[in-house]
Amino acid sequence: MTESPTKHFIRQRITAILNIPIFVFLLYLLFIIPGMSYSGVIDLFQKPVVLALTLLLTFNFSYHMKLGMQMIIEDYIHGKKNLKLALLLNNIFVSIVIIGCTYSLLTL
Amino acid sequence: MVELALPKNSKITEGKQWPKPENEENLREFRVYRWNPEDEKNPSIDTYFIDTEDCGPMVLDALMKIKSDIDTSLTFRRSCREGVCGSCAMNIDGVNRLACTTAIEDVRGSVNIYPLPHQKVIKDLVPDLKNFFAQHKSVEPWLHTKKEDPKEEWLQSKEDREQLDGFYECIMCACCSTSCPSYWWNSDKYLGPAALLQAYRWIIDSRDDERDERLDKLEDPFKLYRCHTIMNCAKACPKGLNPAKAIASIKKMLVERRVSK
Repeated sequence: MTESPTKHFIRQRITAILNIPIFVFLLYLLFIIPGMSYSGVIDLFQKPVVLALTLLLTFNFSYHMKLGMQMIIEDYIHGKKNLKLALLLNNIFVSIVIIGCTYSLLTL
Repeated sequence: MVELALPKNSKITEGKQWPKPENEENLREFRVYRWNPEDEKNPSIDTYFIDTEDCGPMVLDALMKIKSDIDTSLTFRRSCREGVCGSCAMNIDGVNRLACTTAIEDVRGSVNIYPLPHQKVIKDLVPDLKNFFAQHKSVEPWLHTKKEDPKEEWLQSKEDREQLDGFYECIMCACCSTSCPSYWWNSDKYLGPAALLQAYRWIIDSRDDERDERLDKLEDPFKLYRCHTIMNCAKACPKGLNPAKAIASIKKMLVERRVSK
């Protein structure tokens, strides 16, 4: 872990708090989408506010997951090489999730 | 890496069952962890029977009775027998506590006694606490001042002194640190609740002039931030202290310092 541990702690808390309203938005989406047609769903995600909130949801959930997984990896993986590899895989996985979701949303 | 299976030589076997005394009316069964580094045997659980009418009320009284009347080879630490020295900390009935302040009648069924968890065992109920005390020393639990020494003593207002209540009473028994899963996994790098409670006690001491230096030393991903607020420490403390609160307060100070920079 090269960054300041206090910065990591602050980011973890801020993303956790932000996740609460975003989760309400996610519940709203899950509630309305099942009754919509395919074209209706595409129209919904093309609305700038919905698109922005969904992108925020993707980024915030993924980043929070990355910070949490980093903590777990540091807790349980002790060898320097294994630790570095696990942290790298964590970063790669989260980057793929963010890039994949962003690309999907922007090309709907 | 985390070890999920115990090595073969640390698997606990059934040990010796000592004879029951003649008066069977008030018998209590004590199952005690035994391990001797001088033989090559695995650890075992020996079973003793104590007549509670012929013994003091606490678990430590029973252990002393076993040592003096039944099995002199049983090894454990004890000193003050009134919850002040912290020597007789052990795992009784699955909970880390002091044998001298745990009443036998408060334990249901047979009384299971093990050494404090996740520490190397020196013998029987005696854990190796070298690392624990080295960590305590590393937080420099003494006054750091930049002022000239006073002629008599370092004075403190009553209000400032009250700030230390709930933090200075720690007896360093290690019940908290050895009940903390984070400490189990990373005891070489994470300072653990007891050392961090002591660190906080000196950080908030109004007479100490090195608050920032103390915080700098703690701002480390492992020394402090391995605490995940599991709270076993507060549950285990035989003095009713709350190390988790002290750790959270240190984190709060570090965040405030970072935000105000």
